[in-house]
Amino acid sequence: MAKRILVIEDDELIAQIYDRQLRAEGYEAKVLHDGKSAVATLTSENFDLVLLDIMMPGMNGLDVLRELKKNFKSAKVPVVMLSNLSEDSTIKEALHLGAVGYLKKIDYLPAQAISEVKKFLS
Amino acid sequence: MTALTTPPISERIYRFGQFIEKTVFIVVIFGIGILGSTYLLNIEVANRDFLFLLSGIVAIYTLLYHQFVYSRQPTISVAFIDALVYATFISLLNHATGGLQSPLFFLYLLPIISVRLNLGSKLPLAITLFISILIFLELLLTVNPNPTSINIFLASFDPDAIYSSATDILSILLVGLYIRSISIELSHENEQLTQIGKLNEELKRVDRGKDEFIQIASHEIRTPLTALRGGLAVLLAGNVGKLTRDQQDFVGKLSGAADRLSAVAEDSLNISALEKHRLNLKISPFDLPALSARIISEMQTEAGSKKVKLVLTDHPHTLPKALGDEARIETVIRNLVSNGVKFTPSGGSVTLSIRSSGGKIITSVKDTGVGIPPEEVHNLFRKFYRVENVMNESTQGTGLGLYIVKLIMSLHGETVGVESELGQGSTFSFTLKAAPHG
Repeated sequence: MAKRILVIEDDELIAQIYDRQLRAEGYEAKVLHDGKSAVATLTSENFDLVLLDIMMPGMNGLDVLRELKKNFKSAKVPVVMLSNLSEDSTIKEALHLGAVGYLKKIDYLPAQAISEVKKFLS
Repeated sequence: MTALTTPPISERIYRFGQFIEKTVFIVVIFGIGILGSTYLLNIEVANRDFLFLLSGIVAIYTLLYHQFVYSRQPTISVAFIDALVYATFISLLNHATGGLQSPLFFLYLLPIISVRLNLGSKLPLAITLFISILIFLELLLTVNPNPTSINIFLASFDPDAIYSSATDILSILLVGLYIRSISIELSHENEQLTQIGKLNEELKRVDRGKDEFIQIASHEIRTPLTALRGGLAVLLAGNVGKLTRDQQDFVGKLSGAADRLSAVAEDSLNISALEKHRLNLKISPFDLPALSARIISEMQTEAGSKKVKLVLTDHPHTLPKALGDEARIETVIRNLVSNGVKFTPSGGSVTLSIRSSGGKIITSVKDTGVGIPPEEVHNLFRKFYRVENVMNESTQGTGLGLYIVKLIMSLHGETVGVESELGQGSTFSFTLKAAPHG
């Protein structure tokens, strides 16, 4: 069965690009544009991996991560941050909150990013 | 930009002057107190203690005043408290030493007030002179209260009285000049302090603004670039629909342009951050040969496409670890190797070698490229500088690579050296401190 990957990204174009690349590589992708619906979706649906942006209006990626880790069901899903913020303090905080990886978006083409996160898909 | 913190030399000299002035002032006040009390000793013992106490209070007050209020903006309340203390002091001193020469002496409180209120230098001086003249006239009139003509007036002068009046006037003039000098210093200092304060605030504000700007600009520039690069890559891979050969070629070129744009943006943002020292170096011992081996293997494809050989020479097994920020040194090596490849024609090679010498580890990147004209060497590390294209083929770059190399090495407290011969190639080298064994 195809692995399910949730992309949480407020920029619609980037979200769409990741969606296409994931589908082309045979994944089942779902895209959400804000933190709040992401938290709601993750507590009701099952995913194998989450790609999570940080700078989003309203609830930001770090808030989402914090919420996910509170819930028993969503706490188990590996979360990889995919953000263009590159401050050391932000990266440290995300990893501290329980993200399994942090990719600086601009440094990776979609295919490269996906091959990077494959190792988290058991 | 850094905030101003060290006071200028003139201010430090001025503060030293203040210290001397303070000391002298306190000694004089205590001296007067002791003299007065000795005088009183013959009359009444209780009064002497009172005078000691009074002198002590005035001395402490003066000390505190000079310590905490003197250099700040004077206020009306400070001026009046000051005047009150001096008025009490003068009256009690006069009382203790046998009465006033003239009640007009109290008028000297006016220049003190005007100095404390920072009313400029002319007013205190004018008041002082005016009071001095009044007192002088009064002294003259006291010597001869009823002069009938100018001759009698002159003849009636007592030499002692003249001497005493002249001394009084001299001291009064000195007081006036002294007050004037303090007043000038005070107003200058206040002006300078206000200006420095304002400048400091402004610098801090600009600094904070720049920080925020860099952070937001980084993110806002990266977001559309991510979409552009990612989108073109997805398009090129045929994930949106199969492309014809022509379309593939075209999108491939667009993708290259987006990559270059992204490289310039990243280099510029890195420089902003480095220049602001925002990227704090994480100095620790690391395995330089292992890092070099990884970089060389990762860059083989890039070099291979240009038919340039990448070589990492053997290093002695006793090589100590290097001290530095590994991630930043990786950038340095990548930039140097990438430059070497860029300026080396097909069939040439870029060689990376590491050796240690006298507590330092020296890394060199040698290419067999076109070399750098001697007159261009001093320009190499300048921001946006690009050596003129001598290879007659497209050598694309941002002109920021070597600038970043220099910046990172200077943050490490180290330098980058270059040796080059036209047509023979160039060698760039940098040093790092060796970590102590163990």
